[in-house]
Amino acid sequence: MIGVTFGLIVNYRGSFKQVSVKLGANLRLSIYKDLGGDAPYNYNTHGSPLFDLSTNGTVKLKKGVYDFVVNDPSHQYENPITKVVVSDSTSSVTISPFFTDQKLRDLLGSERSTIQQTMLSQYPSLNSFYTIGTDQLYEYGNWYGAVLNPLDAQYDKLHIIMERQGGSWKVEAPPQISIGIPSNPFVPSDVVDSVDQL
Amino acid sequence: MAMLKRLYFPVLLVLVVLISYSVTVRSSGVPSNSYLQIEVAPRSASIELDGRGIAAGKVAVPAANHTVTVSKKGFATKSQTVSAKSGQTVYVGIGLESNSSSTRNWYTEHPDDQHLAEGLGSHEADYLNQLANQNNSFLRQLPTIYGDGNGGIVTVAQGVPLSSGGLPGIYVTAATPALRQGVLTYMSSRGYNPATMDIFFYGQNNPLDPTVE
Repeated sequence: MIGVTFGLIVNYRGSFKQVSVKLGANLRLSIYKDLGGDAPYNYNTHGSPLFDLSTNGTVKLKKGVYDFVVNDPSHQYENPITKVVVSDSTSSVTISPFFTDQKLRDLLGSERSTIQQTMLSQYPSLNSFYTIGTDQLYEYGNWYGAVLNPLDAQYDKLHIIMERQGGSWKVEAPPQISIGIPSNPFVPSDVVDSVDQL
Repeated sequence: MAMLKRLYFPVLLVLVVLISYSVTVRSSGVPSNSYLQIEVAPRSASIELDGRGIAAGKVAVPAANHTVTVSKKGFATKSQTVSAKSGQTVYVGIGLESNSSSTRNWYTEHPDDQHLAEGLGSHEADYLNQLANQNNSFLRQLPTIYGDGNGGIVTVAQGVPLSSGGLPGIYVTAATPALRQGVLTYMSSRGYNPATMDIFFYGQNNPLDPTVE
C-alpha cells in the first residue's frame, strides 16, 4: 500500500512541468486546458483560464494540451490561439503571433514611402532600370519584400527583401532573380518563399 | 513461505516505482521523426545524447534541440547542441583533442582515428550532399540540357554549395531573362520550389549588382 501510494506520488509530481512563457510586447495571454475533440480550439467552452499573463512569466502545468489565447479584441493577430503540448521536453513557450494580412496592408500604406526611399538611396540607379512592383510586409510589419520589374526586356525580374531594424529599414537580401532560403539563413524562410513568388 | 511474504512488499514497492517512473518518462508522446547522424573521434569515446549513453551512427530523436557530449579519459570533453527539425537529419561530427601526456600521441598511434578526425569536416559536406540528393529528386535529374527552340541551349547543373549550409548549388546557364524565368517556371511546374535552393544564373545582367555580369 505504501509502495502504491509512493509510486502514485512520484508519478503525480513528475506529471507537472514549470513552463517559462515568453510573451511578445504589449500582449495579454490567457491559458486554458484544451478539451480535445475534433475542433481545433475549444478554450471558450471551458470557463475561466488557468493563468492570465501580461508579461513574461513561469507557470506550472500538468503535462497535456493547452490553448494559449492572446487577447485580440481588434483582430490584428493572424493566430491569436496557440495549441501547446506540454511534455517532458517542454521548458519554454514563446507567444508572439504575427499580424494579419489586413493589418500588414494597413501598415504598408504608411510605411511604403519610407521603405522605398531607403531602397532608392541604396540603389540610386534603380529607377533607370526597374519599377517597384508588387510589395508586401510580413510578420510584425518588420519584413518587406518587393518585386522589381525591368523597364527593358534585357533585364531580369528581380526580388528584394528588407528588414526594419531599430526604426530604420535595411536591405537584407539584395535584388536577385531568386533569393533562395539556404543563402539567407537570417531571413525567415516563409518570407523568402513568399517574396520569391511575388 | 514466510520468506516470500517478507519479500512481497519490497518487491511490490520497487515494481510500482519503476512502472510509475516509466509511465511518467514515456508519456510525453513526442514522436521521434528526426535523426542525428553522429561520428566521433576517437571511435572509443563515450557519447551521450541529452545525458543518455548512445553509440555512434544514426539515432532517431524528437524534433527539438539536442546536446551531444563526447568524452574520453585523457581528452577534453566536447559538447555540441544541434536543432533537429521535423523530418530532418542533422550531422554531428566531433573530434576530441588530447589534454593529457598519456594521450598526446593518440592519433598518430591510432591511424584509423586520425583518418576519421581529419575527415570529419569533409564527411559533413559529403553527408549533406548525399542527403540533399536523396531528399531532392530535382537534384538527381541534373545535369539537364535543353534547347530554347531558337538555337540556344539552357543547362541546369548542380555544383559547389553557394552558402554555408552545404546544399549543392544549382547553376543555370540561359541566355535571356525569359529563358531564366522559364527555368524557375519549369521547376515550379514539376513541384520543386526554387526558393528552397540556391540558384546561380550565368549570363544574367543585373545592373543593381556590380558583382554579377
